[in-house]
Amino acid sequence: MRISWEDGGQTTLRLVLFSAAGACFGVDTRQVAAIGDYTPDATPHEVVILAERFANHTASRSYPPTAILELRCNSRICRVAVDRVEEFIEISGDAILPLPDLVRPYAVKSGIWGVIVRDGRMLLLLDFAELPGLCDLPR
Amino acid sequence: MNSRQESNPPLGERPRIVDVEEARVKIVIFSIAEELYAFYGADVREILPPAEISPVPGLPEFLPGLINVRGDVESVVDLRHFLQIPEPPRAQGFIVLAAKNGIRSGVLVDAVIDVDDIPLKNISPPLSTLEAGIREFIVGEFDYGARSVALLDLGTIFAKIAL
Repeated sequence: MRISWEDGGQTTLRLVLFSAAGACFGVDTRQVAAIGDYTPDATPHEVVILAERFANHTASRSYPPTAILELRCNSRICRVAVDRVEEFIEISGDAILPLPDLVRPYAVKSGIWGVIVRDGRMLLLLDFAELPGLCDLPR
Repeated sequence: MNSRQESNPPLGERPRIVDVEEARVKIVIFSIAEELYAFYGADVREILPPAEISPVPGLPEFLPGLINVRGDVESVVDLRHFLQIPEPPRAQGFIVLAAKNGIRSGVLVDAVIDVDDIPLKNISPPLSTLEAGIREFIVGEFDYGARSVALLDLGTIFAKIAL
């Protein structure tokens, strides 16, 4: 699901952008099967609230979830609630910046593997398959 | 005897000129929670004005997030954790972009006070009365006016963060 650094930045990646826990994320559209509204009382399956998974010093800046991403898991339906889905974009591999040295060891444990700067805004590239205990996404 | 030879002995016999200029080192002095600290100037790349720090989930408290420096992404370190300062960071703090041992990062400070050259001999070892937890990050101390400045060991701080 990731662009290899060795491909010379030739690959393009389609991302769905969303916010959660006070940060903006981009995730490969191939990991997302569907997007829907988040309604706490009418959600039939177990939902992971992403802001709660990422609860740390950023959590105070998050908002109640408004959308659900249904992920392409192997064995069961896995749904992740996010603060807000923003848009779909396509980026080239050379727009992806590596995480700084001091941040990388911590961020990868949350499934974050790269950064893009778009219109001066920082977007964190998230791989749901690397988010521990979320679901069994194909890697 | 040639009087000229008496007054001007051959080059090899002349007394050597001793360089009496003191060895000096450039330092960048800054404040955090009213205390003064410094980095070696050789480790400082740039002083950045207050900037928006983008949070990254999963980072420890001493890494408040990332900043965008002309299209490059840099981490930001909050030294309060290492210096055992309980006060929260100032909302509009400056960021000292520093590099040491191949690692580069921004460091959050309240204000940059001065950039100066000081004699190397003015730097004394850190006080033995300092708590061990703090002393490991301090390479020396020097006076700046009537105040004392702790010279920080950026290499040790970065190594501690880098796991």
